[in-house]
Amino acid sequence: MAGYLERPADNVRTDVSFAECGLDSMYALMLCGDIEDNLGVPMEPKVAWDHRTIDSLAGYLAQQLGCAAP
Amino acid sequence: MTALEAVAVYLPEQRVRIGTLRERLGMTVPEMKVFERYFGLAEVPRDDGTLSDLLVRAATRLELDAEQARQIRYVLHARSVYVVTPHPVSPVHDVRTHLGLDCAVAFAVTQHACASGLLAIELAGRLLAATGDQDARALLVTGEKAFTTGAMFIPRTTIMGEASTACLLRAGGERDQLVAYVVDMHGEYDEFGISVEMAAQYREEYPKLLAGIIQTTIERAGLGLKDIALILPHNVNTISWERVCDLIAFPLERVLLDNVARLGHCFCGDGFINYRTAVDTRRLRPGDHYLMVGVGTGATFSAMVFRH
Repeated sequence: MAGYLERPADNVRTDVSFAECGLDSMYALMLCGDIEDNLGVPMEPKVAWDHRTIDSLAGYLAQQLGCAAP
Repeated sequence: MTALEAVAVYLPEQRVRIGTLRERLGMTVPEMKVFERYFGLAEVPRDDGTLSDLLVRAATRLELDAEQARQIRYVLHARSVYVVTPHPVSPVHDVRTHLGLDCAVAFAVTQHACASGLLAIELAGRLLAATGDQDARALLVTGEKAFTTGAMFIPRTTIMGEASTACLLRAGGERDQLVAYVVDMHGEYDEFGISVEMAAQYREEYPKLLAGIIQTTIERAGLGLKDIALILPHNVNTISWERVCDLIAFPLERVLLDNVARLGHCFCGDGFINYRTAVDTRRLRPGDHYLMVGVGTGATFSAMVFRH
């Protein structure tokens, strides 16, 4: 997120929507692609619509990775 | 009541993988991944001929006989880009000449950009009705060349394909009757003159506006969503349709998305291409109602309900 916003991670709020941060739906999808590449979690586009903040998305990912853990 | 009497499609065999266009289009690797992974785009057709060649190849596929040709009063070229050839070259007049339709009035319709195909149906229907001649016909062609980078893609949205369609229209008749047509224009989202923030707002609003025009048109037809057997969409991408279906609770499998991956967005022709696919794969039965939808840069949202 900080990379796409071109600002320090400390300056990115985790409880506001991607759109309010200045990232539109295209960036949200690019983020999904990055997550797929880096974490190996399949990311359907609906995830980006349903989880519109970093906190919400992180919660979703934790759940997915937890379920996937042995 | 305006009716589609025949629809023909020309799809060039040559295809280009969209990934090979990335650098020319100035896209980043993550952007291209979104196009391929989430937008459902894979390849687009390219034709070696001129724009006139492209249009003629669809028009000749209608296989008009001498009597049908004699009945054609109007030849319309619906297109997204308003300047496509240097003066005095006129592809729509080339089509007219090639088919020997010397008595027909030929002109282009561009005002609704990629939604101009639907506008041309409406316009042709009104012109034909005004003749008072039940045998009068209009020939509507679509097809454009992705000449320039600007014509090759819509940033953050889609990549354009070169294909052409030809549609024979009449003011009455049993086949594919036009039941309702609604247009919703949003000039505040003219992408050539708006700020980055407004463009982002447009992308956020887009699914709601598209959902709105679909629902309004179906209501205008006196129908409900359950009555629509199939939506013949634009082939801009698949994700916009997934979002729209989510918003209006319409089954995604009743949106004909078969052609997005292999053709991309063929300017004004998507609805006609998808009509041909629907009929050829028997996804429309006599009496079915279906919806043809177009969105044009500018921004114009329009939809038509037909009875097959």
